[in-house]
Amino acid sequence: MRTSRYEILHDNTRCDLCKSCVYQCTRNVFSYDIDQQRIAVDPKNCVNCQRCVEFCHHQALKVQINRNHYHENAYWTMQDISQLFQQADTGGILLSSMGNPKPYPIYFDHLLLNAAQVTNPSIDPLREPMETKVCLGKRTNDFKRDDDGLLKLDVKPHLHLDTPILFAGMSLGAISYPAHEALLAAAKELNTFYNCGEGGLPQKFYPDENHIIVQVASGRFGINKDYLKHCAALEIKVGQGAKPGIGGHLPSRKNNELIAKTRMIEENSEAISPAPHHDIYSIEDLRQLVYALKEVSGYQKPIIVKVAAVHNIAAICSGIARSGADIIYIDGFRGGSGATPMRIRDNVGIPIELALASVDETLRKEGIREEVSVIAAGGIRNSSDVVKAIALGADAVAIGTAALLALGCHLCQDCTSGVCSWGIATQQKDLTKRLNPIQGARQLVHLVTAWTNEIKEMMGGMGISSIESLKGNRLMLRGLHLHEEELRILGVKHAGSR
Amino acid sequence: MIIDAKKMNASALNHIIRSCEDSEIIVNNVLGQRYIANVSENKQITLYGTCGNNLANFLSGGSITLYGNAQENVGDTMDDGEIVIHGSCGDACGYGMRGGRLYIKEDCGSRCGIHMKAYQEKQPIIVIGGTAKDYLGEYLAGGMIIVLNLHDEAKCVGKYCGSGAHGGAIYLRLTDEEQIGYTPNILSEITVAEQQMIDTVLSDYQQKLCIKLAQNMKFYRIEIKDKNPYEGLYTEV
Repeated sequence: MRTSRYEILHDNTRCDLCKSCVYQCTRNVFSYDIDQQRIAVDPKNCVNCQRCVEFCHHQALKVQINRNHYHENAYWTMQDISQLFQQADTGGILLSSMGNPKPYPIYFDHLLLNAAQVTNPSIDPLREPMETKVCLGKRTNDFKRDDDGLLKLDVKPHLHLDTPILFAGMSLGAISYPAHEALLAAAKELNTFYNCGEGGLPQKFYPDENHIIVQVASGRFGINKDYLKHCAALEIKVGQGAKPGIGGHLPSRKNNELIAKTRMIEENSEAISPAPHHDIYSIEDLRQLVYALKEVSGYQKPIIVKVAAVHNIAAICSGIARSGADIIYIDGFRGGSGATPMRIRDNVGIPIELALASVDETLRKEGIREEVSVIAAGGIRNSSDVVKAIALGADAVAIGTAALLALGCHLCQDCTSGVCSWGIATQQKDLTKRLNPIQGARQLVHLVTAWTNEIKEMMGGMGISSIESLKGNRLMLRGLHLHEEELRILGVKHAGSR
Repeated sequence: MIIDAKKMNASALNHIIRSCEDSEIIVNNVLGQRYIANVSENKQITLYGTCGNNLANFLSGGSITLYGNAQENVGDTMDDGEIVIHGSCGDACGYGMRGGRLYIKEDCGSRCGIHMKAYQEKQPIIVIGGTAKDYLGEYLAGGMIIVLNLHDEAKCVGKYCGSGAHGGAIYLRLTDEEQIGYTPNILSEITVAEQQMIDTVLSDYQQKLCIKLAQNMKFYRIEIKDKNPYEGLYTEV
């Protein structure tokens, strides 16, 4: 980069030379000038992670976008120019992290929720029972009786959650061990699920298997009989919202002893997850892997299939529902990533709101909606996004970025560097210890508890006492500033229409 | 225990195999049943017939001997143990294999040994008696693949052998200039230590498949670039 993205305003009058910024910054922006007895600042490598600002006890620091601008115009923005310069300098594919930051329409913000008035009563969630429990898996529509007239119960395996929020799969490698500890501890306390991602499962986590979802991805990292045993559900990861059609690649420098042990690969080797599963070229092939895993679990555990929201998502999900999978996990284009080619992240895939509505509609039309549960993910920012996603047809949502923010992430989108100052997206021991897993778990529990209470309030306002009654209930949604086609796909009426 | 798999579906057959406490199991008349012996450990299973897809996935010990052919995805994510096929098998056999041995008497399809990896004492080995199709050892990260080409076919392996490989070793038995010329990869002569390692593996292979191999077979190693093939491809924004 030829010009720094940020500039640092350092107020000498407030600074007491405690040097906390020097210690906290992982990118050598600050140094202590012993001759002049002052803090020297070099903003070249600053990514605005806010670590220095939060640790400056006299609030002597501010980070702001560099006021110096290239000669940009409405077409060639500062970003376009600087990225072009970078590629001309290095010849590299631009690599970035976290979710798509581009100003595409956010459909969640164009959907408004309903509330009960006069003709039906609203419910006070603080004083009346509200049901946020969710059960994920296949449901049966038909009743069968045996010769004695008794109900034949063919109960399929399910996941039971106290709140319709799960943690998204993030691998050990993408994020740190304490981050995993925090997510698992929080999932346990909240009675929901932690997802170990595709980087294997630390053996220490085995006792909490009832709150663990494990992934089977194309790289098959860390998968053995114990891995398949110590989990509540198995997830086949086909795609990821941040990088549909693209595999994973953990560079060798991040593959330290712990990562290698958990993934069961050689230390300091590249950990490549191929873009395709070479055993899955069709829905029939997917069915094969689904059933291979069902066989492994003796048909006792639900199988999740995770796909990125892409153009044909409705047809794809219809196929997945017929493959025998119990749960479909759809990841929208705002979904996060530890490292993703920027052009892919910013330009591939579709918004989760449209994908979800389209999938729910298709599955209902085809009469197979109850064959699967649907988890929506990829950019869930708050509890109203959760409520809207459920009203658009999701059974539950998964949060990744939001969970990391609760752990201290400040969304600087620089996970690829491996020197996350917050101890989250790093494997350096001196940095990972910055994240206290107990405190992290508390933050996550706070967040999900707060969201759950907010969800109850919104449900109560609508006069709905059970989250199940909200699922796919689009009458609870109205669109604002949306075109006819958008409304049609979302299956909602425009605000003000009867 | 002896099982007759005739007219039995996959889940029924596998249920019997899974719940059987005998250490030795013989299954006759296998005809396309899938997922046989998934996650099996410590059992000696002998199969007669043709196995369907996903034979011995996640195998974590014991031995599987098949008198016949197998379809796709044999030994997917195999962790330990031994699979001996007295015949051929389809595509993607040994996918993500981490340990154990996969011996194939005849040919295998495409993408054999894809993403095979080693971990500490676990060093997976695949030996193919006949030939392999395209993308043999794609993304190979560890372990050893040996192709014997015992019937001296002109093409010992298909196209893109070792594509994206960044560890492990692929050895090809090549007899004449024509075969060497066909092989698209850069070939290296093997060392004495490698020859000894191959000999050790092949003596076990001969024994398990009850065949006799010729002495002094000439092997070449396919050059695997470096451990970090994608270093420098990216630039962090």
